[in-house]
Amino acid sequence: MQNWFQDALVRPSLPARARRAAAAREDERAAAEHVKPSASLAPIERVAIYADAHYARLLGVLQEDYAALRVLAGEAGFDRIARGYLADHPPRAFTLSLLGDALPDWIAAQRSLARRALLADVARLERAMTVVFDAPRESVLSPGDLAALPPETWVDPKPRLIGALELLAFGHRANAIVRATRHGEALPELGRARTHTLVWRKDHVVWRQDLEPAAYAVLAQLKAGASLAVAVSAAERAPDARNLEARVASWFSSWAQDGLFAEIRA
Amino acid sequence: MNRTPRFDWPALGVGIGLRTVHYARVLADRPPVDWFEVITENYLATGGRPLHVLEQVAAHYPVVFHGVSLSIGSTDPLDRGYLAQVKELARQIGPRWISDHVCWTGVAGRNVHDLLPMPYTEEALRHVVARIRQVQDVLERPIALENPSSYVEFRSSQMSEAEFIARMAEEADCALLLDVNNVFVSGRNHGFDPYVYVDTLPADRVVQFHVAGHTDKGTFLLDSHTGTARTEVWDLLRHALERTGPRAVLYEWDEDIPELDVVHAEALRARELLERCAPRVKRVAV
Repeated sequence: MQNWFQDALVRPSLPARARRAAAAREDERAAAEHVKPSASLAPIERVAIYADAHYARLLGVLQEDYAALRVLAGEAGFDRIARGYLADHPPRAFTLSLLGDALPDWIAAQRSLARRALLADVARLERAMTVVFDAPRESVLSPGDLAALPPETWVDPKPRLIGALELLAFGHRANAIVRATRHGEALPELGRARTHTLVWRKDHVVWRQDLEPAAYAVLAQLKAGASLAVAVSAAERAPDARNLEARVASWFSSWAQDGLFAEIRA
Repeated sequence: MNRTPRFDWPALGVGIGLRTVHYARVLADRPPVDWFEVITENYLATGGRPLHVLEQVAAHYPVVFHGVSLSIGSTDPLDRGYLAQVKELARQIGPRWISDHVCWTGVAGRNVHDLLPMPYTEEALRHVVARIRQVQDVLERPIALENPSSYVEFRSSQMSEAEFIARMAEEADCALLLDVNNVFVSGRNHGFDPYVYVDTLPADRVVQFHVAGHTDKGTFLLDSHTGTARTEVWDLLRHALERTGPRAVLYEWDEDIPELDVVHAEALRARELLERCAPRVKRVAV
């Protein structure tokens, strides 16, 4: 009985009238077999109350988690994306924060979807914001903590970045698009552009910042566990790698202020 | 009728649900709400702001956990990982009690994120009772279960919902959260007398009440948790409180949520009812 009821309510949602018109005689027969009619509703209409609420609830979660994607795709486009995605990825976890976890990859795989690379980039950024929002807590080094570290720490420092941090490289201006939609501003140029964005959490607030390619390269290396020296060396291959020593010193100071470091090991 | 509570849990007074839109107000002003109920799942699997807010709130108010994912009626195995997280959060926060619903939320590994009604059969009763005992063993505390609102009744049911829940509570030795709006909504949708329903439940096992607004959709009532509760719902609460004596009362408002003071003012309509059924309910020290 539970399998039947669940199948009935997770089918693509259509108004009860349309369901009937769409040759849903088998649905009606099954509903009548399991469910009593009420004084005013047939069994299939009572089941449809759950079916309609089911899709609306999940759509609402995706709309909230992917607000910029919704603006970019338009209401009808977002609805098509949501229906297709939910058909392939029905919710299994108790937490709704995981409902859209595979949406960026799903979009990227939809060959028939117009502007899918752009939509996937924006979805990746919005997903990263959710991941960072929910990331586990951990202690963060303050600038004062860094100043108190023993001198030997700085011979070959190995900084460990906080867990509530995501680094993303895009083929479009994803962060500018998200910013514009959040502020109700006109969308920026939607054409291809190589951009890099840092998403992190500080004091329970999720922040986003566009990065220069070399800064992205340094942080990506640190996130992978490299020492600062190795990270800077790797950044020398970045297209904007010039005067790196001074720039890294400046970045490092900013990153410390922004609470990006959980630990500095010698 | 037995007015002596089966569980030694405090009456708490009149509370409201802790909702995101009220976080800043609660933290900044500490409004004189007796207690807060929180949706358990909103604070699991996150280390972000919600958990930080909950810790602050729990430091100043009694808090009760209200879950929506226990799925006590499902034929899928209990989610032990979920239970472990609830237990750990309870260890951190110290809720006065933990509640969920008499329902199922999915089967075959899916979670539909809805509180689905059960067939009220002898088989389902044995199934649910055994699972409640398992949950209480894992959590190492009794739980309270809430009567659902529903829009379907199954032909296979062998007893009324109230009879099912009454027997469930006695046989599993659990507490009950009585949602009088749900009783009213389901009563209208299924054509039963809500007063008979309330009178069927063991009063001594009721530890908490829910009150809420609902929406008349013409052919059925929708448990929308929006707006003010109808007079008939408050009347049903009065009747229930006369049977149980003072218990914690919680007002739910989850759609088109207004300012906290508006929600609290509606909740405080319960204060008079509580005072009528017992001496003034004192705020419980944290």
